[in-house]
Amino acid sequence: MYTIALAGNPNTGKSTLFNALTGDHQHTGNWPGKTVEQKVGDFKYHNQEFEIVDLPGTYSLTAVSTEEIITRDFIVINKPEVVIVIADVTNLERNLYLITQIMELTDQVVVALNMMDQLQSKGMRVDVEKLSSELGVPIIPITALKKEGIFHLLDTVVGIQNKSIRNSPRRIVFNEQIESMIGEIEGFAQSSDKESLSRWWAIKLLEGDSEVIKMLQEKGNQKAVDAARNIVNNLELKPEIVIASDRYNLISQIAQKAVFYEKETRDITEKIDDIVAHKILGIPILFLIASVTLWAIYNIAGPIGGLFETIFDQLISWTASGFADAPFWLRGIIVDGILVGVKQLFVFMLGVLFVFFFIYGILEDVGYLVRGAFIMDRIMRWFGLPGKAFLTIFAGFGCSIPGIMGTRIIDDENDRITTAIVVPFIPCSARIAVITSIVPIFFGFGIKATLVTIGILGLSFLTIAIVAYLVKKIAFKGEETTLIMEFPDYHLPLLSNVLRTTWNRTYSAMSKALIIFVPFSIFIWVLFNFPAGATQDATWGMQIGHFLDPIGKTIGLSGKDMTGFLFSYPAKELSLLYLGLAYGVGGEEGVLNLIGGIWSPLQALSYLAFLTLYAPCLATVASLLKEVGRKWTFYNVLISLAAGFFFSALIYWGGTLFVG
Amino acid sequence: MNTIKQNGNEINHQLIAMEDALKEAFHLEEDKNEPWMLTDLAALSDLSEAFPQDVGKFLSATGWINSEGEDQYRLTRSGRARAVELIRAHRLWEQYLATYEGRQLELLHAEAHQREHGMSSEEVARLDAVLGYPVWDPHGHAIPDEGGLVPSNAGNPLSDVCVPGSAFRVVAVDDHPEELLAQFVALGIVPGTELTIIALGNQIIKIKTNDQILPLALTAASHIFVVPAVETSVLMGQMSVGESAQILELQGKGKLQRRLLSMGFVPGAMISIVREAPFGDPFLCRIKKSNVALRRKEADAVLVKQ
Repeated sequence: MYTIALAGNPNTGKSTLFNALTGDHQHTGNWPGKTVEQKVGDFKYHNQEFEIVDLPGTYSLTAVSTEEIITRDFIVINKPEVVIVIADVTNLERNLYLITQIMELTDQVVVALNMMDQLQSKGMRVDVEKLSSELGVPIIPITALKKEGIFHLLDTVVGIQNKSIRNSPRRIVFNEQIESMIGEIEGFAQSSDKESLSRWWAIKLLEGDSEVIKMLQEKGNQKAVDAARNIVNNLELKPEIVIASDRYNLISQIAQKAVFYEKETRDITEKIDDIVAHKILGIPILFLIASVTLWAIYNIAGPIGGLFETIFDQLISWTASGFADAPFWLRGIIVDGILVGVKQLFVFMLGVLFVFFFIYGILEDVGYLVRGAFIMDRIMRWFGLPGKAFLTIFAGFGCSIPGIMGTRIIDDENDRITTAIVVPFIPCSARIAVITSIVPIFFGFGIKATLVTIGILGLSFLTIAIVAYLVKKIAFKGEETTLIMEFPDYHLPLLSNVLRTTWNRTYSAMSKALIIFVPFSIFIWVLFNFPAGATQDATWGMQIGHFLDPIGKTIGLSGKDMTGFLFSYPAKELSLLYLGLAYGVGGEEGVLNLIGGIWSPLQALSYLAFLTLYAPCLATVASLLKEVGRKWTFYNVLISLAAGFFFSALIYWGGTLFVG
Repeated sequence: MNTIKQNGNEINHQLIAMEDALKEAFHLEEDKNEPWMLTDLAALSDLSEAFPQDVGKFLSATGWINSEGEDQYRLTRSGRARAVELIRAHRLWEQYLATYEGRQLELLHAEAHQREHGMSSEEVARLDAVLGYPVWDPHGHAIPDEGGLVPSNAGNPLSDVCVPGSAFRVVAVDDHPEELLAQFVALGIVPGTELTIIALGNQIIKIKTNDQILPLALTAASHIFVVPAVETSVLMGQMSVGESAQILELQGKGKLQRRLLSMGFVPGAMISIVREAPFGDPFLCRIKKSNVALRRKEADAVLVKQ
């Protein structure tokens, strides 16, 4: 089994090539200790087995982002047999910037020149042989979408692996001053590396790359680090800029010899952007797309949920009869605890996740997400969030989980965490269902109800803005973040790609949720059914209500009501179910009639505000744990509770002053 | 311009010759800042054989010059005033001919030279007013104001500053000799032209201007007046949609700078602003065949030349 790495710029068709090579023989996980997706697959070619690792898309190999560090560490440390670098032929210079850097790390490189079918529409011509001889590595033209050139690529990979093809990668020669400095530092770096990476170490040291400095220090080579520091400190120029511009200059020279622009075209992407990324039209178009997505979530996910409800109800009744003779607690745990709990996940979450991830995947594949982020960036920054956060906030209206998972597209770590923390404040479909059930009881269906609903939404946004501001100010000390992102060309989505990522994401979210859901469901069931044989009011869960009375009073609710927030912690849809249970009425109708009788409108408002803001549901916590870690998940729960109490108290007591 | 009448018939030919001599004397004195001799003046003028005695006699009689010892002369106050007035009239006429009659740069001097004589101060003032009180003539020379104050000419002769590699902007070219000026105009060397010294040889320099490389005699170069070309750098974040520019340098640091470099924002690269988001920020920048979105604040880390 030989290991191949697949590297390349973002938006070059890397996933498409990866899927074309591995088909279903792939699995998705995370890079160890990172929130960056890792895909590994395997395939067989000429009776030889290959393992292929999909490296994250990057523009460079500096220490700018986790993706770049992962990519270069994998090449330096794992030493894959062959590195396939996929490049977009229509944007060759920028791609060569990465290619030439990878060529400094390893000789075993083959370039897969993708998007060959785009040349004509771009008015371009490319001399592949010339390019290959200029670079000193094989260059294989492919069209990944149509699976063209794949076998030629694999033959070359085999050739490089069995050494029948020997590369002599072109070395980027920098200007004399830089070269002499490289030579000087290289002398010190040599002792750290026998495998001809000393030049690369030297370049990185000159660039002041903090990760490389750390790496060399760990290897005990302080000398090289000091030598570089001495040299760089005495310079007026910034080596990093000179190195980058020399690299680009040489690349331009190479490109000029092999790439010819026959006519300047204004392609379809520009024309679409004239409308879609328009200064004024952009916003309504974005909201139209968002509305269609939400419509789809409510109208397609619903029936999917209904289907699962039928299946689970059947399953539950079978199991219940199967366990008819089992002790009360065993039947309870398995049927009412686990099965009923898991049913909630499938009924309320699975459909929402799948539909959302599917639409999201299409928007992502087509290239629209970046445009959305561009349009919303200024507006989102009023909330202290980056433009890309818009997409995750909007996902949050469906379910917080895709919203939190979606924060991965945000490059900046501080921005990513801040966004993930605030996403749960957006009322998801579950909370919206509860809100829209309760609001009419107290406020009817007219203008008053609309105002209340908008008010709750406003409260969400207000909380987001305040929390984002505080998190950035306190935890991240107001550090500057960057937007800088490329606008990829639009292209038609590849359904198989979209379905694959949709499935992977849905599966990942569901499995994380299930793991944490099952034990908690059991816990809740026990809480509300023990001591054995006790009446509903006498169960432990309901007893907690008495302790919660003083806490509930702070926001105008009873301890019994407060217990409901605990009960519906696994899923907020359960709120109404609990109220029925607690007050001993059955059916949704009954519950709604009941609370209409016992709550004042102010209490209802307080309840809704608390429901919207208080700690995210269990499945969301599971997702947060995975995406931002324990510390931030803990803070999130704490902040949510604080926000819930604060605003509910404000509404209740503030309202009392006016109403009397 | 009918108000400005050319009463040429009344002009005494001798007066013209004398006024020309007065102007030359003025320049002589300006250059040397010491008394001059009539023979010096004769060497500069294309006056008749009657020179130098006639001239000396005439100029003394009008009270324009004073003898300061044997064959040593200086201009009197009124002589200086008249000389400046003549220069003023000359340059105003040049401006008039260029702007109202659309004459070529090299064709201004001779005609203005004819028209400058015999004008009263009031007539000159009226011409000045009609032209909107210009400060510079078309060649880039300063026009004296009514009080006779001569603004100092901007710039240095190109021959004095020719260090290879340095870039300059032409602020003035001498209006005579006319053949030389015609040559300059033909080569595109006029006030406002930018040029770079490429090489310095024996009595000859090579300059690059308007995308061509030209050899130029040092003596010719002494008739071109230049100031150092300032590269006016602009923060990229201040550019508007539709504008293009070349990157001069990066002044960001850390991650921002690295990200910019890896996207191709290196010194020398050409960029243009394609579109902007609602509220004008961020904007989309075309660089190396790709479109990159960035916030204006981030773009401010890039200095560009438009």
